[in-house]
Amino acid sequence: MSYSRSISRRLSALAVFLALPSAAVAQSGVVRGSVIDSASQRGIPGVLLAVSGTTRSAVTDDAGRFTIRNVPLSSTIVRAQRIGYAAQDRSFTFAGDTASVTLVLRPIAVQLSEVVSIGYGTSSRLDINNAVASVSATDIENKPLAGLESAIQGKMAGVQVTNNAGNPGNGISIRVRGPASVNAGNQPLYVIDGIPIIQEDYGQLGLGGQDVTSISSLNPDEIESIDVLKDAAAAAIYGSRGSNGVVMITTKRGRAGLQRVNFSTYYGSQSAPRKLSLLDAKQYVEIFNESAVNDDEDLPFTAGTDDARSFDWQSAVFRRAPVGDAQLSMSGGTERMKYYLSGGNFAQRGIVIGSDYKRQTGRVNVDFDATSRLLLRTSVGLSREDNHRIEGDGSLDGVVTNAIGMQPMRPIFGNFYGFAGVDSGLKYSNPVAIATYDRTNYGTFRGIGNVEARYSVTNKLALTGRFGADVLSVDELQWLSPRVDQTYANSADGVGKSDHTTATRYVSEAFGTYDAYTSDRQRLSVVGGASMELSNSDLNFIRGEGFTSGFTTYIRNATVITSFDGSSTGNSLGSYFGRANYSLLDRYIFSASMRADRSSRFGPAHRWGYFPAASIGWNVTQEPFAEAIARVATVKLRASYGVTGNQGIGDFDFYSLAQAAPYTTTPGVAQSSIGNPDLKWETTHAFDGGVDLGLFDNRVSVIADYYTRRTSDLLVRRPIPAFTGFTTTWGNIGDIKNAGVDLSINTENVRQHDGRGFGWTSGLNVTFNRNKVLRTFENQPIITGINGRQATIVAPGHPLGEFYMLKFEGVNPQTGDAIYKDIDGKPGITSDDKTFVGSPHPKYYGGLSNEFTLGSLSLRGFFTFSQGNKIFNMMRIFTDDGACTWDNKTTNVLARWKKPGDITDVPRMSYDCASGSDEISSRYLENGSYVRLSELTLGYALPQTWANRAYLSNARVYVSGHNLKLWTKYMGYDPDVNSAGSDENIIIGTDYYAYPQPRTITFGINAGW
Amino acid sequence: MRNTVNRRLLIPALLVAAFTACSEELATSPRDQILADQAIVDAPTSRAALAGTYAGLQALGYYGRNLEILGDLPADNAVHTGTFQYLDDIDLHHVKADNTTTTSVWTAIYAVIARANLVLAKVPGIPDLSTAEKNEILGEAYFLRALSYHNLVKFWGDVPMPLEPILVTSDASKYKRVPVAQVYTQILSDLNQAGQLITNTSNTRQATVMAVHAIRSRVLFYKGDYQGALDEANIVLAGRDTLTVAYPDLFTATGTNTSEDIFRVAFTPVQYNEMGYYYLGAGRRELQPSKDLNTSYEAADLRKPWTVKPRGSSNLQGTKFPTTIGAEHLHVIRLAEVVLIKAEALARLNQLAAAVAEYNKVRLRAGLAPHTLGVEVTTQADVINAIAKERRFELALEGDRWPDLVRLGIATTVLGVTATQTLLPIPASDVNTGGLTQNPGY
Repeated sequence: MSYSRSISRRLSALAVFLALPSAAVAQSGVVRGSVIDSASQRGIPGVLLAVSGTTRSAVTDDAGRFTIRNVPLSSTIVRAQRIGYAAQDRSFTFAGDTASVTLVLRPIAVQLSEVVSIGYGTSSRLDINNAVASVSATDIENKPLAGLESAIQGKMAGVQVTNNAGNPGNGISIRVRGPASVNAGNQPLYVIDGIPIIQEDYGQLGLGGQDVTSISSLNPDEIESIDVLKDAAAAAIYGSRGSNGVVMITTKRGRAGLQRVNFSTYYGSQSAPRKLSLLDAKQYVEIFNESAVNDDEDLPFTAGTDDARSFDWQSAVFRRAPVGDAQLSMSGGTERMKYYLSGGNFAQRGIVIGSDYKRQTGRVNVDFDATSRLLLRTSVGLSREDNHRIEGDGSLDGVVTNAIGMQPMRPIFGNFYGFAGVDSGLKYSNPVAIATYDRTNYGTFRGIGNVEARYSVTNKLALTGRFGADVLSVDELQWLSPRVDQTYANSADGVGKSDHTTATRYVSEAFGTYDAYTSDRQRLSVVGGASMELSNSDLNFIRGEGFTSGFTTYIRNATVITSFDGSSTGNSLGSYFGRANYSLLDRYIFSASMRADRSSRFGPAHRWGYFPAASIGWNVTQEPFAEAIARVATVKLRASYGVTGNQGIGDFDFYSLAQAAPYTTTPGVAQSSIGNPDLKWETTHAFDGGVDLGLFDNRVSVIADYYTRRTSDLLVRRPIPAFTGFTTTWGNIGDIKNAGVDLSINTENVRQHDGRGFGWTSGLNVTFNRNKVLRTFENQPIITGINGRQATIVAPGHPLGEFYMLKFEGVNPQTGDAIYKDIDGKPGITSDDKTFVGSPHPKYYGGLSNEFTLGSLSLRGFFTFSQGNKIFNMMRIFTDDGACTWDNKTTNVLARWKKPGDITDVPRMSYDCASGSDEISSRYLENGSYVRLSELTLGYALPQTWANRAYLSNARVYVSGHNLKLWTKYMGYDPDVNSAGSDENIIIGTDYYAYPQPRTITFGINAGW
Repeated sequence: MRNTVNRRLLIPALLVAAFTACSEELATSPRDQILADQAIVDAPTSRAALAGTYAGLQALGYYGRNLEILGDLPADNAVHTGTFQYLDDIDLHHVKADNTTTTSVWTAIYAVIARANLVLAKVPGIPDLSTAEKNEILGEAYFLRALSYHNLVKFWGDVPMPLEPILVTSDASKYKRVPVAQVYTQILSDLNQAGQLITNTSNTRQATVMAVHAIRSRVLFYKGDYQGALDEANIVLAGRDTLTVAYPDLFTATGTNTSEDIFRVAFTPVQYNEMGYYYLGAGRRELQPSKDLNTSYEAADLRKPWTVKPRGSSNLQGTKFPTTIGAEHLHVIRLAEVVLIKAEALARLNQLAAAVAEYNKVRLRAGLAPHTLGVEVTTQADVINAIAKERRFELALEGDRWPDLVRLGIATTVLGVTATQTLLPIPASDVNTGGLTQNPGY
């Protein structure tokens, strides 16, 4: 058979298929329904449904729905078959000429057959060759944490979640298979119900390092599942934004059947799990007087007088704080109309005074079968947040910062508006006064919604049109009170700031899904479509000073306006995408995808980017020769290669632009940037090779992947000759490589039978990633650090953001001075003696969970771990500086050098700061490895009889502890930290007075009726 | 049947919507900015481009803060007390080529030059400007370019000298450092143009006829052409050769002229300078006046209490710039400096009595007894030395001390720096990416 004839025959077959619907046969009916996974409760795509005794069959779509037409009215049985699931026969009866059937299939290898979102569709793991990590609702519900990213920490191989700090609503860093960008953003793309959402930080107020994120407005309890697309084969369908992985979020939806009402609530108490070991007044006076003696200076303190009283400033700013959550949802519907309604209220007070966070959310998701061919769906979520933030981290007026730095003999309360101030000897602004008088409110309103119409043209061809909108409104209001002594606001009679940002994104997309060919031997399906996104943001800002006594906060009472802004920007992304999946004999699976993106962020010559990917999979144990193995194991091998991009830069960076530059009241204009018309996408070429393994009746399942990701044409702000009047322009320079292994193992150690007896399941995931910068602009290093304190480097041959500082080699036993390694060989220790001293990236990280069930009792324990990373405990440049500053010191100094001959690694105290101990060096670099008992939950499902007596269909109570125990050598509050915030790419693993993470005990109830 | 048609229309409609959107021209031009090559197109934008060039002087890297810091911190007038490492390096003469502050000054000065170059390139072709206004705009742009190149050679010596706009990065590659003498020739040529074109005599926030003479006097003075400097100073001082304004009033004025103003950079609470913020105890106190400056004033000097105040028992604060808001205008050149230029030029020309009489005007206003030739000062060296002191106290914290010490050739003895350290390093970015040669010693 010649090739061309075969094509034409296929085409005529296609024509017949397309013509079929209009040729309806009178004595037949339509069988419609859906197939659901009993474990995840999600629809299963790709299930073959065959009506017994006929040749009629259909395959479920990616929502698990199917329609079989032209079924003889005499038929009564439909059989569902799907690899990875136990096959099922189900009887049905026609009502008129239609019949509805819902089938629930039991997976026989849970991890290996689970249904995952893959972008413009869902699929079973069995049918794809992609690296996708998933968590379902049970993993993310009822966690006393604002951010959904916290809920997935440690739960997904290849996905590194860093909380950065413990303040409620804080920005969180996610790195999928390692960081790959220097300047263009390393956070993954977030897609909710098919719509790529706004995920940037639109807060305009800096509070010293930590940031906020628009992701925090999402309520984790509304989420059905989170799938992270890790490899290029999966993420390439999102093209220019897929480089950092894609987080696919699916919200909960209603199902046909009885109306269900669910209520869940918890209440908990949080506290700071550890305090730093700081000096008391007596020790403080002793070491400072000793420092003066060492340097022949006058004693700064009088022992016995100055150390008569000691105050615990840490206790003054920490508190026991409540956290609570209540969620009410209703869901149900008929075969034609299903709904899910929910409302939630989350409130968390911070464990540091002055901080708290509230979020209210609501959601309406409706599915409506307008006709047998047309499905309409809407998903709408609304939220508001109210976040009271405090100055933190690197801020001069940070609450935690100053509580640590305060001299221990200084009183908390005094005469300056009730608090101690400079007249009580305070060297810094009083952190309790800051938390009491200053206010920073970050409030958001947000609506994310989409409407979707899916039209089944034939059994095999469905067209989907979707329109989505994400509207985020951010209001900030800050008041820095003159009542806090020794602050700028005090000298300026108060500072008020007020700002507003509206960010919008509209997404319109249309795609067709065509099951081009289906038989028991082979299956070909294709998806193709186009999408269009428009994003806009508008902001304004005003800052005033000089508030007349008695007036606060609001700008109209200010005397001078010292800063203002108002601006607007936008970008667009137009795309075409397509994907084809072909499976032969359920053994060989081929997939290829392509996306073409046209971004307004690049110049006309480089606007289009093309992102292809391809993959192959082999279900080894489906082979006849592997039959013997297949009895004890299932084995699937996968490999993929693909290209993804990153366009995370500003909107018009390729242009040379000019903007207003007034000279007092005269309107002015001046060039504001020098552009690069050759700017183009940052691209990542990624390979993934994986194996899915099921053993012992699939009671052990293993997913393991080896990957390499090479990112090139890095979008960086490269230096240019400053005599142009500008210092940088965007360019595409440099390469970064990530390579590693991610591994996830789930085991069913003891199987529970019919919900009775004892059961035990375990899950372990671990990721080993190696990151290396291969090339930078002219191979020049980029050296940076928080507040200009250079400690971090990007240099070829080294991991991104390796620590770069003086290398501490101990203390001279004769002089007590610090010894640093002389790198440049020249006399003296200067910044030329800085060297590479350690990586902020863990060698491996992951999580381990165990769940024990005994009848209605369940006990679940979850550990997270990170090993082999260094943390720059930057606070120690003040608390361990050998008496250079008046800041209180850690009890490390008790082991200090005191007299010639002392062998120690803590330099002498020096009043004149001459011992070298204040140099930024590897002395402040600590082992950041940790193991955390992240969660321990004991739950009890009330007996059905009790529940029924309370008119409930089910009820569960639980008590849960989070962050109960931390094993680490790290001296700071918590090694899960980054004071540079989530927007930062290069400065990682740096702790600069970060807000500690709380330990939380909660008690909760889930009830349904 | 009609229903079917409607239904069938729905999906194609959605598809069409998506696809047509793709083909449209999308949000591809900025809304709150304009393209740089469209910045100067008519009379209003020409005026605005000149104002934008003046606005460049307000930059924190320029007169807004760092130029003055660069003039006092490495010298004996100020010390670093704050936390910024790169300021500490300047204080301790451990400046490296990537120093943020020196790079910011270099960049800010060149930004003004770039803006002036764009005005000079574009404005001659603007049709709807009167010749008089066109001349005024071009003249002031020449003036700003001359002033800026002089600030560069004072600190860096040989510098690259673009006289045309650099609109794409690759255009930068043709510029290399040119010798100081050639830069001076260009500066004087620009001032000559400015002198012929400028007619403004009253608005001292912008270049005036007198500002051109004053700056030319300073340029010739630094160049060592004392007769030229004297001639220009005499033009400036004709009819106003006395200092009558109380010293503090020179620094509090936020918009009104004083009789000693020649050219100043105007600031507002929004377009602020950070001199007060950096020197005052109420601000960052990133810098403080040196103890040496504090103790060097004569006891009766009225300038001292306005410039240096104690803070606490052992610290000092700079109080010359009275608020942390920074809305005070800052002088680029003022009458007292011209008086002192004239005095030193006279001294260099060996007219010692006239020189002493000239600088006594400054002493008198400071509440100090006048010097008499033969009593307090006798030799030419004495007179020049006395003038250097007056310059130090009169212009303290205004950014003139380091250039003075270098100009006088005494930086090495007074500050203990090496000869090569009297020039700052060319910024690393320009050496690495622009192929400029580095100054020796860096």
